[in-house]
Amino acid sequence: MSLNLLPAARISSTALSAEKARMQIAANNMANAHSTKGPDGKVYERKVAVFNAIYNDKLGQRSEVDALGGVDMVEVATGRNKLVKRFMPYHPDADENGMVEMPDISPIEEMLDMITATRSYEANLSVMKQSKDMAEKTIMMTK
Amino acid sequence: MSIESLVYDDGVHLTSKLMEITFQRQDVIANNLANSNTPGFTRQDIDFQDKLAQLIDNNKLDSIDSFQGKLVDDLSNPARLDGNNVNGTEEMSEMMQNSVLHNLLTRAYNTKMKIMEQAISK
Repeated sequence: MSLNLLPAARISSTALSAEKARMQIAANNMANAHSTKGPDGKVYERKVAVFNAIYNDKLGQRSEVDALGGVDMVEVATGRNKLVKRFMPYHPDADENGMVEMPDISPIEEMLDMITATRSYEANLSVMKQSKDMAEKTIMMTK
Repeated sequence: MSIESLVYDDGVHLTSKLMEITFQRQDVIANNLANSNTPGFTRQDIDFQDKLAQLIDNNKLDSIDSFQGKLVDDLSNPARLDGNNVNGTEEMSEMMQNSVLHNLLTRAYNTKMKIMEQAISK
């Protein structure tokens, strides 16, 4: 670890990008609530962000705290593949009974995900601000 | 008495060690908050108070430079359904306290240096 003037900057930035990715996934789910055909010809499946804590190599670190690495989005998992059928006989993807398969996306779930992501983003942002204040105080120590 | 021991006395050593610990705690709290949505994550903290108090009580402040806090899992909070026990509000308040301690330490160091400055310039 080089000069550690700004504590936790790396950790908070991993969290910010993870929450950003979660936001994008929620937005993508919402946007595709009525997508009946993806590039593979199948109905869109709801995506879920999977988070995991990361740890750096402890070898050569000055203290065990330096091993803390923040959070990482390890995978964009496909959630449940449940589909709902709607009666839309005019739709080109309708079957012989006039039913169209659509992804089962609940706007409430997506909204909830978006709100949690936003709040977490804000919390991590204020950690960053606090860290910056600490660094400033350290620099101005003898003033 | 050399001038070095006059400036870098036990108090300054203690202050700098405590500052190092506040920086490490900031790391740990940031990590807790970063993982507030990671299933199965347990909040961590640095355990240093007892060991440091022992050092001070036994007048062993000369060995303080090698002192290290211990990273421990904190299971005192109940875990949520996903096995995570990070409480955002609590982390925020811990972080605030930590930053106030850091401010206090810089102030203490500052005051000490001011006293020295005044003594020299008189």
